Amino acid sequence: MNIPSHCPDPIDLEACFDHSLPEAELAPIRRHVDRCPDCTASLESLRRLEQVCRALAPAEADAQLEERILARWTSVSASPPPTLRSRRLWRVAAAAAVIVAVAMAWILWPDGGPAKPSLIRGQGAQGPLAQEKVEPGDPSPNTPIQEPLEEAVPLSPRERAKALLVAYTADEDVDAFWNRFVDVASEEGSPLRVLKDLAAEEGPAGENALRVFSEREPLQAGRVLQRAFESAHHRPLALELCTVLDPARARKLIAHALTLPELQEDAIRQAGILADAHLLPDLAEVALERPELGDVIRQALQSIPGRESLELIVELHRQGATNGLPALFARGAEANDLLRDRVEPGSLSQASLELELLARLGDRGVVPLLKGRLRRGQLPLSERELIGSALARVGGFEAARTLVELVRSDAPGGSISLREEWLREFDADEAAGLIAQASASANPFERSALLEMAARIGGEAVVGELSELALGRDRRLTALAIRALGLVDHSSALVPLASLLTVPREDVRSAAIRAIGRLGDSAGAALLVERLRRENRGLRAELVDALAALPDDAVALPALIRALGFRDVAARAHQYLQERTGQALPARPRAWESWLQDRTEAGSAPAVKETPDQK
Amino acid sequence: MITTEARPPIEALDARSIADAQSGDQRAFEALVRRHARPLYAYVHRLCGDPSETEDLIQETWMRVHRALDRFEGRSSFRTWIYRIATNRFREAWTRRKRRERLAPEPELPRSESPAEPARLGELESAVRRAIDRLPAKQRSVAVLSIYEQLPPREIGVVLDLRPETVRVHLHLARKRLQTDLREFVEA
Repeated sequence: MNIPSHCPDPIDLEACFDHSLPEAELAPIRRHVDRCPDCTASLESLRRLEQVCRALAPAEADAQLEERILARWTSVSASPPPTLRSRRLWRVAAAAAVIVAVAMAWILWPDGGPAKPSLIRGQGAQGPLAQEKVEPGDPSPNTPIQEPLEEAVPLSPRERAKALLVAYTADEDVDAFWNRFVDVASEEGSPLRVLKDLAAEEGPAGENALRVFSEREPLQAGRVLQRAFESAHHRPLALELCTVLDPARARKLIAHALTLPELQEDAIRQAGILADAHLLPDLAEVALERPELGDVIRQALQSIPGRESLELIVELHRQGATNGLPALFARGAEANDLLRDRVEPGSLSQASLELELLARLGDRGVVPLLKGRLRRGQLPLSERELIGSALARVGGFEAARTLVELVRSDAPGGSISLREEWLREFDADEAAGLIAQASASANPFERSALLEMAARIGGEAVVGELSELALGRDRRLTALAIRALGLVDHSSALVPLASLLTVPREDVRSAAIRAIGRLGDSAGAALLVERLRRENRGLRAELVDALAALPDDAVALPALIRALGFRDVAARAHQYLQERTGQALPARPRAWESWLQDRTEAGSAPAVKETPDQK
Repeated sequence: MITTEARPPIEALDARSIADAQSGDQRAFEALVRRHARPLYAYVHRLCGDPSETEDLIQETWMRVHRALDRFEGRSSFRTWIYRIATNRFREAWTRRKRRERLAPEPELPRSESPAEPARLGELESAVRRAIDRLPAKQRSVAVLSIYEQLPPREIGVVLDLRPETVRVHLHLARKRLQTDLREFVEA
């Protein structure tokens, strides 16, 4: 275990955060924190919590707040606040009135005076004063709300304290309850002692005594809870309350509960609240014995800092006991470091989980690992596809570049092609990065692949950058950029390509012709047909080839029929027409035009034979 | 002995206003209200989360302040003192509400999560509001005094009548609950 044995108590760590201890006590804690990543992370988490909580903006009272307060004050008290002296006089007068009333009651009462007034409704008190105090249904808002007890026989203070505990609810304000409890229990002795004794009893009073004790006196509740747990009275409740104890005591109690099947689930949750890494071995044991509790354990582990908890999450994920991904996402950089260390030594197949996790975490640190793996050997198709998916999930320029490398790599099982779902994971910025990389590269194959990837990722967004390269001085790069423009799946690429058809350089016009053919756009087809009149014989053949490559028959066939009108390329166009349609018509435009018209009027597409290019 | 001149300005102003109010000067009491009404409103609103309940508690608090002002001896700051009174009013209201809920299943008092509030707040704000509302009364008071009012445990102890060590325990428990409830925002 990589847990420093001298990590401060979480409460002291918070004192460090709050600067709420004397400097002499804080200094050693600070020195420890400077060296301990777990404590640093805990402090960071406290800082984040504080930041998140401050999002709750203060409520703004309306402009008349002060006026309302003062108006109410003025209406209730027309006079200024009573002075100290007048108050004292009033108190003396009130005390005198009470003494006189009590004395009168004592004298007039036939049985030697009224019984002692009780807090319990209808019990104990018989005299007129008591009657006035406990009259049921008294509408006065000042009447104290009595506990719903209607005992006929007078109860001892301890029994009344117990009755109060029975009526206590866990969400009641414990201080208000405590004041009432002290009133009653102090007749028996020390209220805390009475509470402690009652906590040992079975039943709801004992349970509530435990609750009140741990809420009211968390620093002294250790033994009481421990005793309740060990005696099996209120064992689940003692477990529930144990997180108020000092961590060592709470840990001991939770570790014990983790061994008891009926309490394991609750104990796991408490371990998560305690967030104590010392409980990890116990949690690991439960995880092995009770795989059905995998999700609960994972949730608890999520709160426990340190590498060991992460490793346990990964193990649970491996065993299929839980989905560890959310927990790992939540632990961010920490999870990345762990997983990166785990990937390196293993082969890809062993490390596929880690790769998957890394990729899903969006950790770009996975890219060099994948690249290294790609370069180390010929990988089977399935592994290369896994790498492709991981790269796509990670995103970013390096991933895009590695994806290019992946596509170019030769390996058993055939080459891998770029998938649309991978391309969708990248954006125009990454495409622009690839173009810049292509400009800097000296390797023509790499340049080609980078530009192809950029065109397919960036689409319309990279048309401008590719056009600039296409018009540049580097002839080889020019040709590759024009080719890439043809791969942009957007008609906006046609504009620069059309302008390139008119430049003096023949190699540029040739590349533009092929690119327009790849675009497959009907406007592009019209441009190519138009160029048949103007181009030289060599490029006219390329124009016909480009027309034949158009995927859409409705665009390609009329264009090829037009090409039949140019004597030097007529034979070429005729051959393409015959191959594409399966028709043995003569090489005369009219014959093909009437065939095409018949077919169109018949309402059916021309019978088309697949060309070798389309296979 | 700490002289008035050595105190921070607001405390010195308060000390003067209190002395004047105790000798019957209405304007001095008004000055105290104007100086402290809004911070106190913000504090109580954070405690209970409901504007109308806040208004009631604030009114009640100032009435008590007025009634008890002649007994104020300056052992704590005026601010701490009125926070203590307001916190006690909040706890009484809390106890009344819980008791009524216990006796009648349908809550009669408006809950602190009134429907209008979350609609007004953003997602994060309403999550924080819900998380604070889920804290038990004492943890809630400690958390609000520490996080929003920035009071140290010693001073929180004065407001809530608790030892500083106990305040730190409650603050720790409150933070744990808040960490759990706000995990997605804290870890985002």
